[in-house]
Amino acid sequence: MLRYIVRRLLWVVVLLFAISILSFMMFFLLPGDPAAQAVPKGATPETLALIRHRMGLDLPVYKQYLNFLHGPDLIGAGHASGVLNWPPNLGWSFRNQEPVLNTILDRLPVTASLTIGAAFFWLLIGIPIGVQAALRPRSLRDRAAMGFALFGVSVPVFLVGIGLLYIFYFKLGWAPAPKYVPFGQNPLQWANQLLLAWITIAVGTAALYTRMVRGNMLEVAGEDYVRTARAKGLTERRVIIKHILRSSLTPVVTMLGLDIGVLLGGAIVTERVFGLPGVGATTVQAIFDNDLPVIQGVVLFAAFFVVMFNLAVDIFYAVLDPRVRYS
Amino acid sequence: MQRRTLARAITLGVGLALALSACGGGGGGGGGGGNAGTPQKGGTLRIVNNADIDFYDPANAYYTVSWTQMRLLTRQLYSYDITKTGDELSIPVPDLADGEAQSTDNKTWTIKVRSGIKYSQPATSEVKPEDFIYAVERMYDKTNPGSGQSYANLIKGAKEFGDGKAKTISGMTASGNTLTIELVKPAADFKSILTMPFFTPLPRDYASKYKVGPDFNKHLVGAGPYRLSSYTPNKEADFVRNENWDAATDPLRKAWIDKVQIKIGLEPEAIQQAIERGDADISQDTQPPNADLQRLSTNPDLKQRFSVNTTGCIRYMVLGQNPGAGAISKKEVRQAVNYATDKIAIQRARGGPFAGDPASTILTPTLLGFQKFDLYPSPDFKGDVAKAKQLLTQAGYPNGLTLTYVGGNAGAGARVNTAFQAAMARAGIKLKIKTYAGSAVYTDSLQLPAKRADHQIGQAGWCPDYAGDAARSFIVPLLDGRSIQPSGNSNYSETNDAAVNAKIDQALAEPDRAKRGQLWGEIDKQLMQDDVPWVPFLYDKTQFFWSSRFKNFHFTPWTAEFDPASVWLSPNTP
Repeated sequence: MLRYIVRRLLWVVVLLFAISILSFMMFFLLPGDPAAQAVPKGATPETLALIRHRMGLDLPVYKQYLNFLHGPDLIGAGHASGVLNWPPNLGWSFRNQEPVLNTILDRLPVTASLTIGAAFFWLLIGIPIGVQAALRPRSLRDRAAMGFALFGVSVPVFLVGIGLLYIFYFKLGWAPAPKYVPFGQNPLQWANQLLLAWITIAVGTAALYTRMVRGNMLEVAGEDYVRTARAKGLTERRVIIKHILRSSLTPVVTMLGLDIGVLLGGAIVTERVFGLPGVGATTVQAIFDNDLPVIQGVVLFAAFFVVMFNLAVDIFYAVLDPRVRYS
Repeated sequence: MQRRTLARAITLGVGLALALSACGGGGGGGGGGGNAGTPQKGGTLRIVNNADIDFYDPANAYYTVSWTQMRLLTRQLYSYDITKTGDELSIPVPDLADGEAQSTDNKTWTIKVRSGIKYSQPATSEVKPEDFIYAVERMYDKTNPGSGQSYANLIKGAKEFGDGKAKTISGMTASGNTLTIELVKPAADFKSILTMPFFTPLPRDYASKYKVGPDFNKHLVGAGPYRLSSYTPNKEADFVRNENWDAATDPLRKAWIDKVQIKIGLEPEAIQQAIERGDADISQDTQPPNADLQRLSTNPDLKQRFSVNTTGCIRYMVLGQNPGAGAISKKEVRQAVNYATDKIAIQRARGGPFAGDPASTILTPTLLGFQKFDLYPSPDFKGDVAKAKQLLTQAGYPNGLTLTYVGGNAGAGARVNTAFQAAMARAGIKLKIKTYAGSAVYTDSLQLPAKRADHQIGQAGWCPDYAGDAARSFIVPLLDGRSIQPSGNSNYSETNDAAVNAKIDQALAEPDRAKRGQLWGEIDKQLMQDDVPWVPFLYDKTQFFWSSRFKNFHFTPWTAEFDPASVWLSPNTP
């Protein structure tokens, strides 16, 4: 088990390294010159050169990449000191002129709050509806559940968010005005403020879980060991929960890990709609500002979460499914 | 210049959708409804914005939204008096200056600075003439150069200081409470230039502890009625009263409200809902969504809180003049493009009459010298195809021709591309369109004369930097042949008419304001007649909507925004 984890962790490092190179490549593919945008009108070529130097754009590509990994020299204007900062600072924001990691970590509590609550809701909605649909295939209940699933995956997140705001905030006045309240400041307000945003994300994602749970349960229900369980005289409730549902949830855990990892990288649309100052909203602003180090940093950061949650899921697999062994 | 004005869907310099350049507003102005009642002191003004400002450092701030906020946090030698109307509003009045600036030749200016004005905490000193010199010095920072350098370069010795050839700015001296500024050449509009926040005084002993730019953003001190109490980029900013501000020394700011809370990062729809429900008061950078405009302008209650204003910005098509640009360098072709343009179709593409009025001049209605004329008229601004075809035949293109065109790749800019293309096709002009994201249409094409063959026609926009007497920030960078640069060029059309250039010099040096206006008007007409560098198509407009408790809305052409210093909040209205 330990050897497996260590080996996987080494692969995580290799994978993140590859992703860091790919995200760094974006730097050269995106249009626009950040230095040209930062200089005053009529600036001399010397001024432009100074700004390019400040941004590190005049360095050889490999050095720019090392800067990105090293993080900035806090004394200089964004150039690496040559000493690897740990943890890596993910570069130096052109716009705010601070380490990118600081920016991301400042926004992370918002995105984490959004992710945790949304995951809770999509599991709460998705799994029971999927189970109910699977128990009575082709019944009215099943068709309603699949209708919900179709709606959930089809409707854009933006529309759900704006629609919920329009109905529950603007028209009915039941929900508060969009605003983020830190959990530590007031947990009840925290939840109240985030509720619509959680549901916005949950609607689309729960639909996918509904379909997955339904499909898996129908497949497992036809397995021999389920028939055997029934033949042994187990109650239907026990058969469903212990034998069908448990096996059906294994792929759900995989998907949950991936979804949480992706969301922690920023729920861009939802954060913008609800004015939540999270990682996703920061990404949007960085794109507007052509703040390439921040864009790169967020990509790497999101990749880190996806990879780490994948690893966590693989490890957790054994708990759910004893047939899985580490080798 | 690239001051951002947009976000309010108008424009935007660096970063967003369609980039404009130099900005501001001019003339005009106007108040919305719902201003009745006795002003009340107190309350928190809740502003909700879609995006953050650029800088709180006055040396770098170059965005209408930041300049509007600067009105609360800082003061300048001269500024605008929002109680004035019409052309009077565009004449700067003393703010930190103790009386009018004195000059006999418009080259050497002597200005007395009010005494006893203190900076906000944590700075402890009083505003001194030396602080204005320090403000100009800061603009020449090497790593974060100030956006107002082109204006600072008017001051004798400033450029040499910036180039490291001098340790002080020889043209600026402080003695007692008097500041003397000597310019390299006469500038009758210099007082207007001094209204811009670039020239905000800062105490050297305090401000020099921080780097110019983002490092100073959270540490700004000023002489305005409020001070920055907290600022988290892209998240929020809060202003509280500046305890050191004395209303008796400030004739221009009423400062009724106690606090300002600025929340950043909401989408337009959410902003509109929050304001309409009374959970927010106004947005500086986001207009009401298009879908709401008709309702807001007709509903008897809501229209009292809705205002449509002319920004002073122009939207236009650049027409290349350099022979290297190919067929477009023929005057008849440029005239034909003017005649073929359907300005109503373009207006519709940008959102209809709320987006602006069809334009036919270079100067906008809010600028000194604006005269309404149309040298390429057509019924209802929809274009005169027959005249266009006739001109093309004269130019040697009886069967039409193909021209290259650059424009934005999203939003209204992209819709304009399509509308313009359809209008040109009527006259037999085919467009080879290339689109760019955001401001790249400027930085990657229009600003580079070497790419002139790729942008025979280009979609662009521009705003003046300050109100009224602002042709210096309009015609000079855009159409003075001596402004053409190999990169970062704003004279996109590469217009270089010796007669126009000479007249520009004459206008800049003309001491009499009325005559100056007349000269700028003549230059406008001369350009459109002899050079035909543009197809001006829209005098830009912007809209504001505010909460029912928000009172005393006044649009100011100085920043193409509302004046936050005159707002009061009704305590009886939720």
